[in-house]
Amino acid sequence: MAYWYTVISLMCINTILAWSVYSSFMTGTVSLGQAGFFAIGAFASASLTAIYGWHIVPATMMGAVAAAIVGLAIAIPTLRLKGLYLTIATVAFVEVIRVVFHNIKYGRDGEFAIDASSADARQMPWIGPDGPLGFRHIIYLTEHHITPGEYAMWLVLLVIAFGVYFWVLERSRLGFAMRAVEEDEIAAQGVGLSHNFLKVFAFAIGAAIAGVAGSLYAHLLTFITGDDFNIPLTVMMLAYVVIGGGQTFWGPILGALIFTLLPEIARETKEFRLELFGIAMLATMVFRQHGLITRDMVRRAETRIKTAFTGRNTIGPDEPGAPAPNPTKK
Amino acid sequence: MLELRDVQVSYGEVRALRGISLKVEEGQIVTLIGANGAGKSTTLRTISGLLKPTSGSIHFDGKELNGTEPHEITRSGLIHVPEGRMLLENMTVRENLLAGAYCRSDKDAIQSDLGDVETRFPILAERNAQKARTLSGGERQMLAIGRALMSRPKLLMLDEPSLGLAPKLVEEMFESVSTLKSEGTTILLVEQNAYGALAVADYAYVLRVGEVVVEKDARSLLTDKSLLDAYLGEA
Repeated sequence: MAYWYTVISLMCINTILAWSVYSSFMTGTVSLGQAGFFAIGAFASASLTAIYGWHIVPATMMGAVAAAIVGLAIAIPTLRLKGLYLTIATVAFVEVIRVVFHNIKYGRDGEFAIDASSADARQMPWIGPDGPLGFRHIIYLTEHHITPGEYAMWLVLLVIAFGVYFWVLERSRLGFAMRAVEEDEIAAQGVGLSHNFLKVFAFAIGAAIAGVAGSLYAHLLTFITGDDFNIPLTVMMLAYVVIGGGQTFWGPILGALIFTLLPEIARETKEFRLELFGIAMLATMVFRQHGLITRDMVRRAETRIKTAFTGRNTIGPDEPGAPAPNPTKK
Repeated sequence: MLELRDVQVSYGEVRALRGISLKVEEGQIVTLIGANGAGKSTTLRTISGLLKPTSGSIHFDGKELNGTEPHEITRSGLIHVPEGRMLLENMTVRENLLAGAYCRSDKDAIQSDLGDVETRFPILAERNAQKARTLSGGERQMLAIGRALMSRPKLLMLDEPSLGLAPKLVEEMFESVSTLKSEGTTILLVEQNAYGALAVADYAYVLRVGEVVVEKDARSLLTDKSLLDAYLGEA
């Protein structure tokens, strides 16, 4: 059972990571830098709980703030870059962060497991990141007797909270403005929207969300190293969004769920796992370029639910789900 | 209302505008005409802040615009309808129109303006749930102008509104432009269709390789065949 609690926790963390990519994706920015923010959140909050004895909630918040501040510092100069160049800059950022955490060492000596004067006294190892050896003994959960089941439950609640944030955002004026920027930056400026502000804002929020995920991940695994936060990981996060669908916040959930569950289920296939993975990705890109869940699908589903509840057909010319009178393919 | 003084713009080494000075008074239609590459679109893009002038000054509504961001210029009521229309392609017609009113908070007035625009261009009401990219060229142009009107422009800058339209639609387009004027909108109109533009404009500037070569009352320019032929080629 504990195994499945861990899988559920990882699904939640990966969903949150997928949303962190989605946040800037909404304004048309493809970020490959999320692993860096993930690492910052993980190391910052683990330091606070393990070294300074903070509670996990404020520590997670500080992890998010730290990631957001670094996100702002990265976003302001790099968002002037367009398309691929921005993506390359964010990849470089991941590598910088990885190397920093590979080499950094701070913290304190661990306490004695048993009374220091006794013959059996064993000193716990270094508490804090220890260069290439990584940050071990992030034991907040065991110290505070939080069971894997409880932790998984809190993570599910947190996922719901983030889901509500994105649900509201997509229906708000701000979300509309972000979509307009994604569609066409110049047209968005033409209706008086500051594309730079919106992009930087969405990017910083995305960084903060990745920071939250980092904190959750560090405390779940109890052991992190700088090398965990590498480029394959950051590519995987983007894959959640691309495969699941980047037009609504539902897509990244599906992408994260599939990519967390599939490798677990397909463990039997052993070394063919990655090949299956590649085939699944290729198939999605060939057959569903906009991802598994598209905006139109969500709208149709919403209309159907509305109809089911009110018992009448609400599809009218004003309904976005209504079929266009004269649709032509792009 | 709008005044450019000796505005120069370069694309790298290439000097696109070599010192343009022009004036648009409130309630007028002013047109910029000239051949391809004369700098007409560049002038509009510079006014709306998409390009930064290397020298010279631009004043709108008593304020200097140098260095102002494009979205701030838009918010001050100077609306640019660029060539190629710049629609939000994957959004519906209705969403595009409402995007034009994004910076306004007067909900009732927005609704009534939406009604006005849809009365002016009934096809937009018919197509309101359709995505912008599925529209025809003429419909796209109407949508672009409709969206601009939704932001209650003080000055509307139209870049080649007749481009790519069927002849009958070109005529309708110029008619709508003069209707807008009669309702009090100030317009700066860029056109290659010099005769169409001069017929509705009050004042005209003829551009040639980045310079104003003639500026004149539109009607007298229209009758001055030799001048037009000299600068625009046989029409």
